[in-house]
Amino acid sequence: MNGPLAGRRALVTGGTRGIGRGIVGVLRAAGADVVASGRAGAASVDGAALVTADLRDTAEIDRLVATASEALDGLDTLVHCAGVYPEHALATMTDADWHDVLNTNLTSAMALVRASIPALTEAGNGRIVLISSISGPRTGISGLAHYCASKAGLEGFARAAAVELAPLGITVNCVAPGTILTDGLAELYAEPGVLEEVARRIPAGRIGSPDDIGNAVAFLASPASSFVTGQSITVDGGQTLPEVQG
Amino acid sequence: MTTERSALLRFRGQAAVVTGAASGIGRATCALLASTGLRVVAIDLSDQLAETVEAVPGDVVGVRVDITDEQAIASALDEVAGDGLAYVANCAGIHVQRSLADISTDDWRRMLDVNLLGAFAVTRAATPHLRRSGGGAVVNISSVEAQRVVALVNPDAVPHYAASKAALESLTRSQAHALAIDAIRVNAVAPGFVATPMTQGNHDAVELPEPARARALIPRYAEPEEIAWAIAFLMSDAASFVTGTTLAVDGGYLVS
Repeated sequence: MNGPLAGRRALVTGGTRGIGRGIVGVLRAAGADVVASGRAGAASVDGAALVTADLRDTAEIDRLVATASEALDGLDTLVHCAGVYPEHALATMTDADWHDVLNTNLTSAMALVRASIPALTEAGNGRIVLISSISGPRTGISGLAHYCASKAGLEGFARAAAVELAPLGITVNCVAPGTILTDGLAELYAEPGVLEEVARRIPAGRIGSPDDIGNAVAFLASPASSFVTGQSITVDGGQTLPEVQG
Repeated sequence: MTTERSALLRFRGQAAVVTGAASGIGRATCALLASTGLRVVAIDLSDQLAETVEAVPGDVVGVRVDITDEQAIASALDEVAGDGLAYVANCAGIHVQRSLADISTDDWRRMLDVNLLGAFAVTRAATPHLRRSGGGAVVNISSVEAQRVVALVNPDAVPHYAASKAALESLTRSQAHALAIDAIRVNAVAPGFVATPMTQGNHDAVELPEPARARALIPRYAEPEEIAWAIAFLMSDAASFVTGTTLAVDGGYLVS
């Protein structure tokens, strides 16, 4: 397949739904070969091989990376998009609630990167893109302290990994989405008029699409970004600019 | 390779303004944007501009005008921009080595005039054109020195240069907020060490000085084209939900 990512081999976690599904679509359209991971029972994605894995289990992550590398005959690009955001008030948050979110969103990143280092090194110009969020690294959300901590943690992890993996020719960057229209968001804002109100509060005047995130990931996965490492690109339509929303 | 990478870049608009276009990052940006089919208005005060316009393939028109003169910029754009002007790359900048003790008021004003007022004036002069095109995008060129004192190579850092670039990043956020209503996005690119006439004179220095080499994760000068790619990405439809951000293209300098 032709395109700016022709011949690139990418693993996208959380690639079966929401933002991850959009990323898979953009990378495919740019010519990359893609393996998408999802939870057991996840729907398959057009043009991408599906591997199911529970990312809370680092042994399953080792298996996922091995399976993906074998299916793709190597690995150039790791995109970690999988994440959960269950709401829990701090006063009643259990240790299990905390660990579940931190394991799925953050510890998984460490395990995915650790397992991918040999294949990405062999590729010679490996790329790692972690999907963080404006929530945590830039702002906070009530009821999502664990999610915000996990996403802020991803950005710190990315900077350290960028330093450590640069000698291996691997770049490590983040994309920090703002409010993106996914099935999950549509469910959360199901009441009539709520989505329109949210869009009104974003300077760009609209809610983002999964493709917006996919495009930023494609840039960071492409040769055009070869001198970019340790960075986080905010893709939020300017949502975090004004002091008062709306 | 360039053609394949260009597939990442899609532009709804038809024309772009690039300042500092005669050399370095500005020239590379002209060449990249022109290669995607955009008409480019190349602005610079330098004598080299004509040679650059001649050498860069594509639809490029050169304008020798002072970017700190908003009226002159506005007149020039009215004359040559034509329809569909949707993009601005503010690449013009100066960098003059002075220690804090040695900066004269004139040095200070000159630095702020070119690096900050220039970007402000060009964007404001271009804004009516961008509005008529139904929106567009502006990219300001900042520097890692906006965020970090860079004194590895020369202990006399460049306080006025750093201040001008930090202010430009702040201006980027204000412009992004104010111009969102017109569907105009504004972002910045913050280069690290780049191989340009500004940083190297006209010498072909290819090796990063040793103290900087030890610090950089990717221990080499960036090519101007690598900065141009980030500028073009932020300008393009691929970044249509990105506004008010600064993207460092620094080989990991800021995180090391």
